[in-house]
Amino acid sequence: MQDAITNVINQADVQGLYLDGSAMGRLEKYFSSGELRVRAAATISANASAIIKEAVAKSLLYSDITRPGGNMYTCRRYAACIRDLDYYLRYATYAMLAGDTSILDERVLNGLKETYNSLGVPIGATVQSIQAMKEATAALVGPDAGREMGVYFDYISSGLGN
Amino acid sequence: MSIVSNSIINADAEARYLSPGELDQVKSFVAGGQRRLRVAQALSESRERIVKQAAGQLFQKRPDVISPGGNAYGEEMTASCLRDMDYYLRLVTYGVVAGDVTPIEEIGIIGAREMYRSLGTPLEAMAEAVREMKAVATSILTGVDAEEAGFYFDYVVGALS
Repeated sequence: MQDAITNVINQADVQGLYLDGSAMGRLEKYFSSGELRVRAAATISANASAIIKEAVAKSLLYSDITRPGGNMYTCRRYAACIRDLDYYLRYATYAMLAGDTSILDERVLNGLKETYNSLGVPIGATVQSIQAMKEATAALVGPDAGREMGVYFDYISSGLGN
Repeated sequence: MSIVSNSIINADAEARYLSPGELDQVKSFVAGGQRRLRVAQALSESRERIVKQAAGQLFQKRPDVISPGGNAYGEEMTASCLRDMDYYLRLVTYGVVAGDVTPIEEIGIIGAREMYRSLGTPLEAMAEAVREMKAVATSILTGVDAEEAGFYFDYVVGALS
């Protein structure tokens, strides 16, 4: 995986360059947002199950998906669903802390859509619940960190949707 | 790799969030970010001077490398030698910025001994060149900045010798 720092380094290295003004600018931006990222990660980590609970209540719980014939019907499938949401929240938090999406490509999205399709998991409902986590997270961590987390929730959503 | 990626990979291996201790480490890493950027900037801006002075010192201590039969003999070979010194200086700036030796290791250390051996380049001379660069670089910097940069030069010297 890459983070904001190694991403800048790798881009410079491919061209054999020292870090120039724009590279330095990007690093400076990451470093100055670092404390906000760390604080948000701590808050999310302490409230992960509450975020998931709220997102499920808002997006899935009272829809057909939890009734017989729905994809979250039977406790086993319900549990699998919240386990997946738990993964997305944790990986989105990693990516936010790193300031880079590469971990999402490597460890979440790679083959995910194919897996879901073969299991018959509805992509639309999954995306809705990820968006509901985005809202619940933003309400918890505040607008600035919420916007940054939103980048990674959206990245997972569009990776699933495309 | 930086301490950020490293902590994330460790946490993910156990499917957990980063611990408060790990988050504290990331926090102090980003808090020192501006200073590290300043060190990297200072080294980048003085690259020509660092390489030139260090090469002068190296060739004084090891006249054999630029004498006939030496690995840096002739204009072209001397230029390659200076280029490689600049290359290690650049990697040192990467290490300083990342706060970690992994970028240096991945780009310029793994395979370096084998490569220089196959080219007939004496590794001790290469290590000496980096040591001389450290001397010039740390004379440009001050206090903790010099110490910080020195650590990454030392890493390269150790890995090459």
